[in-house]
Amino acid sequence: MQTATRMTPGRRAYVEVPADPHQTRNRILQAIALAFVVAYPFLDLLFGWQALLAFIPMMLMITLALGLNIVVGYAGLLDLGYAAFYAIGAYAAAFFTSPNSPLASVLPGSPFAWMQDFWVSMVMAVLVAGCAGAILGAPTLRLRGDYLALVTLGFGEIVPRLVKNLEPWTKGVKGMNPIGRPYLFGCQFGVDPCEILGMKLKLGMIPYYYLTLIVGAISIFAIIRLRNSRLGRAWAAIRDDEIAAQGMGINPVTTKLWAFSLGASFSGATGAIFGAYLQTISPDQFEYSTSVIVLCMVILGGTGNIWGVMLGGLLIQSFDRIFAERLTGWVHKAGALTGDPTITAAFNSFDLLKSRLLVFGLCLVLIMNLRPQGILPNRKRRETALTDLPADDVAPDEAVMIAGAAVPTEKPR
Amino acid sequence: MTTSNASGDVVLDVTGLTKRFGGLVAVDSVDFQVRRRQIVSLIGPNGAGKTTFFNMVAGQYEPSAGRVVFDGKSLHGLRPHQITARGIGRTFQNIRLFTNETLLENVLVGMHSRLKSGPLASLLRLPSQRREEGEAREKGMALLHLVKLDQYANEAAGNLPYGMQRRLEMARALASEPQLLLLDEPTAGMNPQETVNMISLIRRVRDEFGVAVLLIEHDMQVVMGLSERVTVLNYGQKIAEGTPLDVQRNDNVIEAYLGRRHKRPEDEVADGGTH
Repeated sequence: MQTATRMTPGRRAYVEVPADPHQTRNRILQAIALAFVVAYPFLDLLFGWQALLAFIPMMLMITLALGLNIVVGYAGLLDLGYAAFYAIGAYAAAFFTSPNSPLASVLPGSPFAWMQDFWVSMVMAVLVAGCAGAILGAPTLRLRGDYLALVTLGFGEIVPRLVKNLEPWTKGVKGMNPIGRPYLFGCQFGVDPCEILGMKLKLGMIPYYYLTLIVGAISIFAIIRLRNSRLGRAWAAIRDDEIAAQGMGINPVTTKLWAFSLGASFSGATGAIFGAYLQTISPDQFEYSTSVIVLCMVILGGTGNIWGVMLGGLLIQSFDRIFAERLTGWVHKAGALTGDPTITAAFNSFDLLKSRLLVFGLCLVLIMNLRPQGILPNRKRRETALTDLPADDVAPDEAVMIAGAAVPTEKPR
Repeated sequence: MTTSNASGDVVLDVTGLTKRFGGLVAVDSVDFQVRRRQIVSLIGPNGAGKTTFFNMVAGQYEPSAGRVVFDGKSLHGLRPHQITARGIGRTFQNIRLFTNETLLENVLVGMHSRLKSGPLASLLRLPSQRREEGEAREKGMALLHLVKLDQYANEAAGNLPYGMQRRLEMARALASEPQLLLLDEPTAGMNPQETVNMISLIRRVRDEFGVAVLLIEHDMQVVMGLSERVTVLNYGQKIAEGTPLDVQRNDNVIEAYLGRRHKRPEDEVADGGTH
């Protein structure tokens, strides 16, 4: 929030909204993080970290968590079936672009051939997932808390079952493969070598990295704008106190539907990229466990705070996809260094990959006990109430005089 | 008693309003009017049906019978948010602020029905949306200033002490630009100084904004000092109505609050004076 002082002549300077004291610090942190992620593929090459392939799904999962945060964090609607929208997005994109899709026999040569384009299919995936969000939202509007969670859980189970059983369209458990690739400057993502302006480049998966990054950045940008809008305030109001929110003129039905629909549409874009990146999708990628992991990322980092959600996602995903493996490798090396066969064998039996769910569970238990609001809580509230406030010592007439001068609004007719 | 509101002077016209919860009749065919810019109190012992009456006017409960006409139009079948949009603002008996949001955000939420920007306009930050937000913030700060809370604009509402929370609720209700303000026990839990200030604030809000005010109150100092008319409910029925002085002298009211005086035979003869 920026300082907005407007000193219109004849008007008091009451319009001053106090500035956020942490703004500079936050800006610096954001700039560092941004510079790091933009430069990452080059740093990865330079230092040989070889983690680029882990970073892409990681960022996709974080984008997914940001979408879920709209539903859970902003609007306060516990959604246990979020992976369903992810599946719907991925399948929608595959449906248009995959040669396995029933559309593949109809579209080429028809006036709708442009629909097979990846970018078009990505937009479609966003729209389809957004509509699916609204459709799921509709029957849950009268439900709260536990009941709502159960219905979303049901939806999360129904979608993979449907995908498995609608074989003619989805290829059932086999999944769809291959899937249309994104392209730019006549260059297909993930296909080497790639020729741009006569130069032959070996880019590997780097284009996917930047596509994911851009989609993530757009999501963050959009989410911040939504949060600070009329709709974002309505979400917060519904979350804090639905009865009071209605009393303030907020329609709970449309407000919740927007939350479900917008939250789902982010997972639509993510699903489309995910499918294209893996080149194959199947129903088991969208099971309950995916919904739970994404929900954990939201809650662990700090429900309702997008920086917290990103941090939570980063921690869980980087452990899952990078550090569990690396740590295991380091321990094995350390065992080999001792030269003692029994110690080496003992160290080699250590495998974090096998017990990563155990570690994950333990961390959840610990963090939720130590910091129930998440690592970076959405904290506008202080631990204690304001102290050292002046008593309500405004002499009535003075207050009134100021108020009379201060309210320039027209009187209601 | 009930006159037609064709005069345009009556902002709230309630006829035969009834609410039954199973066998219990919480509000029993109450007729009631509020005129523009009038301050009216609704009083009565605990359980008399005051808050139920409020909730029916605000759309939280659907009346079992009777009708509510606001500003010449029936409110029948409208949802609470639609009623707010029509011009009825309210506060709650147990303060219901959005405790995790800042003071300014609370007031901005109150403006919800007066703002128009949709999600797309907000995503694109269209000029119309930016202008609307700027004006809303300015107005929100003015309202916070009115209740002397502008210096805490960026604090979370839950951090405020009790008396200030009540004032914030008032600013939030005013943000919806109401023609009628429903205040449910606005001075409950306040100390005498805060109460005096609240009385003055309510009166000035009426004067500055031209709203009619309907309040439920237990504090007789507030009721008598502020109201132009008082209506008394007991067991869901209207037992008295009039100026504060009329109501204070009314036998039914005294009986409802203090109980019937047991009359001894010798009093029958001397009976005649009130009390």
